[in-house]
Amino acid sequence: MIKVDHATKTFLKSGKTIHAVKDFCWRALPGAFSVVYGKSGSGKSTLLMMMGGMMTPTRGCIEVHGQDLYALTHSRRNAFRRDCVGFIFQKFLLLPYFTVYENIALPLSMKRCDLIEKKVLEIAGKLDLSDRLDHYPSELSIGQQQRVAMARALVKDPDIVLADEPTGNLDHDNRDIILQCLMAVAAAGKVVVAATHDKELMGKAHHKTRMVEGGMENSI
Amino acid sequence: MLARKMIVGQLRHEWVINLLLFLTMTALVSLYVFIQNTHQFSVRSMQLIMKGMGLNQLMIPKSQSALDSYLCTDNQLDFPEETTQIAASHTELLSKYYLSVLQERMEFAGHVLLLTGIEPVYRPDETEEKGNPVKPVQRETARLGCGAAKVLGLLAGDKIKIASQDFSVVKVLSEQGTLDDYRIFLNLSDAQELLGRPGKINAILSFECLHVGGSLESIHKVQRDMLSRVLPGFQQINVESIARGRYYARQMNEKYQYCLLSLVATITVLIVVMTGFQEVAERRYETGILVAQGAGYLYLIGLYLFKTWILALLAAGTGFLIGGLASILLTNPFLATQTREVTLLWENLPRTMAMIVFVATIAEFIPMIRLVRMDPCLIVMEE
Repeated sequence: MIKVDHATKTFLKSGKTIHAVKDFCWRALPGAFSVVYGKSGSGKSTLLMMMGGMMTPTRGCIEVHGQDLYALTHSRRNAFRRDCVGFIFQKFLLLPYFTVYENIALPLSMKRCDLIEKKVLEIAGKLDLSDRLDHYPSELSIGQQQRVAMARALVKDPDIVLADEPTGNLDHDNRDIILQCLMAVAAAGKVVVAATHDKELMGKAHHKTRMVEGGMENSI
Repeated sequence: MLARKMIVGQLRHEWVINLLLFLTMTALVSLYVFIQNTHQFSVRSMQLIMKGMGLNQLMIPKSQSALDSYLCTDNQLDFPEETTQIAASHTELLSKYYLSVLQERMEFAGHVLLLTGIEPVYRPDETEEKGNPVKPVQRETARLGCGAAKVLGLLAGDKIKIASQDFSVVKVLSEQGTLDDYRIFLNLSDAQELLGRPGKINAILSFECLHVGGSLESIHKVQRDMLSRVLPGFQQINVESIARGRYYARQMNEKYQYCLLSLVATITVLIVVMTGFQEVAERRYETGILVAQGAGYLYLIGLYLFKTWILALLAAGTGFLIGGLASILLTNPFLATQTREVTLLWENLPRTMAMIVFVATIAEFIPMIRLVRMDPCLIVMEE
């Protein structure tokens, strides 16, 4: 479980203080597909980064399985991201000089896992990427790139999946594949949180929270 | 395994920048090796030029005026020729290439000339390669200064009669503009027999070496202090113009090298810093991805440094060959000496590699500060 406890994140820009997230309290439960939605700039991505151990809150705390994430040392927080979190970014962020296979295998190599090939082939099969494994990202369609990003996030079987606009700019078929995949991960008892504008994605969520100017407007 | 793939991937993906970086470092290493090579050989050839200008030290008894030695008067004091061997056996003295001398004025066909018996004496550490600049005169032969040959009307191959003994003229020396032009050089033993002073000499000439470093004055002082211990009854007179010429030649070579090398190192650092900054900016997505996957900054810095080290080592090898070959092809005709050719100095290769890796590492330090100050969240959230 991820518990966001009065988390606030402020930035200083041109001498002005910007509150990206304001006194935010929230929980994401295992087995549930949670969605955070709201307008651009409402603080969704910032919240995801804080939950993933990538951005220290200005105030408040983020607890994962009862442990304050930002009380950990840098190296333990790195280990947390390496072992427990799968990120899916809106811009995919695939390494251009790695093949599809190498991009998917990246988290397993960092984690020094065994049976890398077996795991990569398995997830590639699930996401219909088996015939693209030796391609480079520039040789793939947008939908295929997003599926590679999804495969990279899921291949290490993380406890937490954080997806930032995972279906943005995708066609209907690719959106379905991504959505089903996220639902399946949640059904397997993992924590799945997506930040999105996608109404279809919101419709499938077990838990929806609307963010407005860094704060929570409502949560269902 | 992963790091190796990433480094190879980066080398391949950004091959244009990497090629430029490699070529730049290669060019700079080539320049470094070229300077290093030519410096070493130009110092050596300069040393030999100065050595060719003649011996720069005169040793005579303290109780004798140097003027008597210069004018070759009858007031010169004789001393045993073993004195030269004693001096030569003390290798801590800065003097080298000893020459035992017995000189006396003598009249030949109405002309006053200087009969000069000479014998080179070698130190135990002197090699054939670094031979005495004065070659020995064989028994019953004579070497004539050009002035002496002119007034006597003699050429190489002629005979000269000295005290009713015949000597073959083997060589007429080129004009020196010194007393040497009016000398008749004989083997020391022949001169001692002719002058009836067996086993005696009246001067020692030698060559003061500058290897102890420091100012010329301090080098002279070291030599004088040592000489007063080895040969307490002797004084040393320096031919300052020759000694100083050699000193300046050495200084010029070293300073020239240091200035150029500083310039080369500065340019290398600036280029690596600039490409490093560019690379950190271009690889920001990779940074964001790897941080999201749990990589620490040491790991990220390692990726940059290893790639730079690979390029630096390749550049060191290539630059070493280019710089070395350039020094051979471009400078061999005028820097090669009788004893040494300009050549590839393989023993300098490890030092060259270490130097460029060190310079590249120092230069990468500033871009690495930028790397660790980058906010990976802003990268991955970048629209």
